[in-house]
Amino acid sequence: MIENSLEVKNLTVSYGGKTVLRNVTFSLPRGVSVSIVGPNGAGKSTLLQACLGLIERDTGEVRVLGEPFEPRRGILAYIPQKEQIDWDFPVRVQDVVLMGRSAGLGWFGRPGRDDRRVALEALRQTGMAEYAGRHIRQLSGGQQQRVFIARALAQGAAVLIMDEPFAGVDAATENTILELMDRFTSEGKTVVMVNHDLGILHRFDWIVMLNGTLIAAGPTAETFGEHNRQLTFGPTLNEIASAEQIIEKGVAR
Amino acid sequence: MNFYTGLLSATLLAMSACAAPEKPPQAEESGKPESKPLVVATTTIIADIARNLVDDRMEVVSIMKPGEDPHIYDPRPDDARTIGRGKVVLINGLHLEGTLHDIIHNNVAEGAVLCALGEDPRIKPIESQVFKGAPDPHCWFNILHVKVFVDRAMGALIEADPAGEAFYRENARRYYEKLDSLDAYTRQVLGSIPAERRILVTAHDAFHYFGIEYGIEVIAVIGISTDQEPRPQDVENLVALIQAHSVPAVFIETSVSPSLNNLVRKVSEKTGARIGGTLFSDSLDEPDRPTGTYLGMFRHNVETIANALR
Amino acid sequence: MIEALKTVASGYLLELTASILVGAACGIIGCFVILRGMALVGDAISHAVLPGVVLAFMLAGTGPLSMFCGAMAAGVLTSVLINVIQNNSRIKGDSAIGLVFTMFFAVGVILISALPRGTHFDLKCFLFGNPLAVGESDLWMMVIVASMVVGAIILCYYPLRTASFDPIMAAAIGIRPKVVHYLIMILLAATVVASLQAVGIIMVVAMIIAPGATAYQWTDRLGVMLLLAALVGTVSAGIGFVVSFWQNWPTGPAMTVVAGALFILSMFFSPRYGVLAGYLKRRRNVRHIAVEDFLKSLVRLPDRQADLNQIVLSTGLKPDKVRSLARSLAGKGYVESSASDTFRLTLRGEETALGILRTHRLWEALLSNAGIDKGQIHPLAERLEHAHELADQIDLKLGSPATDPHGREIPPKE
Repeated sequence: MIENSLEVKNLTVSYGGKTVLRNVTFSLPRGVSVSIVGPNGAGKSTLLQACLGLIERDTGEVRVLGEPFEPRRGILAYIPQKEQIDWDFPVRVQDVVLMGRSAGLGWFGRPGRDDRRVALEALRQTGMAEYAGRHIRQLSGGQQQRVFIARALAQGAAVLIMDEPFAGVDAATENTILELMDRFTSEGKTVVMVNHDLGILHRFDWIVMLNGTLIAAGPTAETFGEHNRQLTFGPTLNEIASAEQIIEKGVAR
Repeated sequence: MNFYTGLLSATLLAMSACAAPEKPPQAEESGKPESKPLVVATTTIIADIARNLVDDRMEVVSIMKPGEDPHIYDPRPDDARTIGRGKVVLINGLHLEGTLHDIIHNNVAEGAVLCALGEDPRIKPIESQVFKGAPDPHCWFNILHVKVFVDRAMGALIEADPAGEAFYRENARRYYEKLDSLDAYTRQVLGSIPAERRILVTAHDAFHYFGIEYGIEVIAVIGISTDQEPRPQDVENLVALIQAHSVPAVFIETSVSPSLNNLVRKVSEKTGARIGGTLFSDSLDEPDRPTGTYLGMFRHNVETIANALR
Repeated sequence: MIEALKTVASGYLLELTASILVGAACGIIGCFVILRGMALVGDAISHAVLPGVVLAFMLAGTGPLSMFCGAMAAGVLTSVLINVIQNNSRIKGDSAIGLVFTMFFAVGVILISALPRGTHFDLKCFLFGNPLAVGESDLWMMVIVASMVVGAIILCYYPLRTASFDPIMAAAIGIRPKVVHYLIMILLAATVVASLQAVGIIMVVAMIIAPGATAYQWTDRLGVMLLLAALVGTVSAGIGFVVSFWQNWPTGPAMTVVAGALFILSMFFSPRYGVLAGYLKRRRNVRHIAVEDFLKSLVRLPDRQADLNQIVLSTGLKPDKVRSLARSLAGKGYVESSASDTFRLTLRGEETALGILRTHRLWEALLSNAGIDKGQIHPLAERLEHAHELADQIDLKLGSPATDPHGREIPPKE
């Protein structure tokens, strides 16, 4: 039985000459909701992008369900932020969800009847079936989020990844997302979110604390202690490094 | 250096190698540089006339090269310098050298003689059919007008070089004789074309003076300047006209753009009139060929037209 | 106009077909250009192919195949160079594009001047097109390019759609955004190059953008948009061609103007997104609200009648408007006018007015339930009350309340 849904080993990522993530290693079990926290510039979005294979890794590997991550399998689903989407693009709700089925089809594949069935089922599960024919601009904020979650469902992904889904979203939508998150984890899926809102951390099973490198990863209650919080949100690594330099020089003198 | 930068550098190098011009853009020169005074002509036709007058007393240089189209000529930096060196500057006038106008007037040297050969009361410019008020500059296709050109050029040369007056007058006299004989030949050859076939269809409207003087109707795909766009109805009207009169042949030209000549070929296909040959309109041929002189060029045109239309 | 049609039909079918193919291909690839924000890139490619074409002309003469290859090489090189500059300098986006294509065009002009003097490279035809001079080999090139574009888009429709809509998700499921980008660029470059003969550099971008933009006004589905764009492109080219014969206009610009005109018409008159449709909808809404306010103002009074001034005061409408509303409502049987400027609800009018009140008070109940501050409830409900569709749902959700937060009775559903 495969224990872990997502494993990251020795991940280092840099761009523009700067190392953004240094030697990150952690493993997430199955069926948990995970909040990635850290200050600005900690590399949270970078971590997501590296997992999805969107940016080059300097070193390290990413395994999903025990195997090296292969995009074509569609095993990782990405749910975008509102700002990343062109809401005027000519697609209907059902077209967006159908995109989730493209994972295995390659360049020349076309979704078949089964794919459409799965897509409709995903819409039903997120309560959006009656909006299938609507243009995406006609939806409310919460409905839009649900469509993209339905897309992730249709993809059949084992791990759902969201980058700050609560940014600029109202209380009702936030609630919707958290409810869906709970439902998925109870079904054995893993939901990973970059999240800035420390007030809802208690809704997450696990937490990954980042600050240029991994500070800690584990069940929320045990991991989010004072010490780890200091290390994550306290002075940055750079400041610590400069402080160490000064101390060294002082000692040498 | 990554792949793309390498590809870019290689290609830019290749492109600059091709861009190196065959030879530095210089006007043609005959004889020793700087030892003789310079006559600068705009077109190859005027340069040829000037050569016949000055012989080797002066150097003659033509700004445009054989095959270049004066209506759309793109001036180069060297042209300004060349004009500045000229003791005598001869131009056609009547807006033929539209693109060179400012360069000429800004660069003619102090004391040099500038003369527009076509702007003379003896030459009555034909008004353009299409552009009211714009004169047709192609007056060199009427030999009588060319005699006026010669006269005016001679006057300019005498003004610049009074010592050579007798020389120039004698050369002019000899050239008049050749022109007269060419005129007689032309009338004789063209006279053999039956009346109902005396229709000349060319790429652009360069032959109106020719047509009026020698009794031939002239129609063209586009008007007096190659700068114009061929319009659909105009092309259609031309096709209809050719079919109505059963014109046997149409003519392409040397100095106009290939796409205009292609349009003439299209007209030929649509009407069944064959391509009667290539005419020289705004430029002479290379100087080493018989058609590289005005006399030779004119003769060639006349024979080509006659052979095709007879 | 009929004459022009006959002329075209009898002698210019080859040229017309080539132009129509241009319209179709441009329309189709234009949809992706619009949705991916590539209009400037399209313009850039059309200019930047010049040095490639001149080089091909220098090396291999004027055959369409060699010109096409030269142009494609220049087009692809442009795209690569734009990327190099964006990744290795401080300038991004449109600055890099603007820099590269004008530079390429300048190199092209210099190359033209370096041609042996007396050879003719027709820059003007390049700039403005020369559709009347299209020959058989040009037509074949157009057929091949059009088939290529249509074929590629049909074959790869789903990944192209996904990658254009959500490139991050596409990357996550194995569709590399870079590959998609270059595929579209190649199709765009091929279309531009093949279309230069028909419309020239300056106007090819209009032929690419206008049909797609027109289609966008009429549909919410990408597939339909592509089909419509192809159709509009074809029609624009065809009509433009015939119009140029009718009016003796240059043919390339005529096609462009027709394409643009069709867009402007769509912008005003398309039923879903048109300016006129929006205006009519707003007017309908305003009238709808005025009618309901009028009826409400009467139903609030015990004897269901009021005079002009009372209505003006309670609805905020101008007296003329009130009178004209009353007339129209009287005509429909909702209101009767007794004495001068006094209006009374009929039975029918009363039923309708009660329906409005019901919606208003249900909204108030809902807002109160949702914790909205009491002072806000009434004005909010005033705005929401005209949305009747949700009234029944609210009723259900709240368990059919009897009174609103202010204690007033909520009329039952009729």
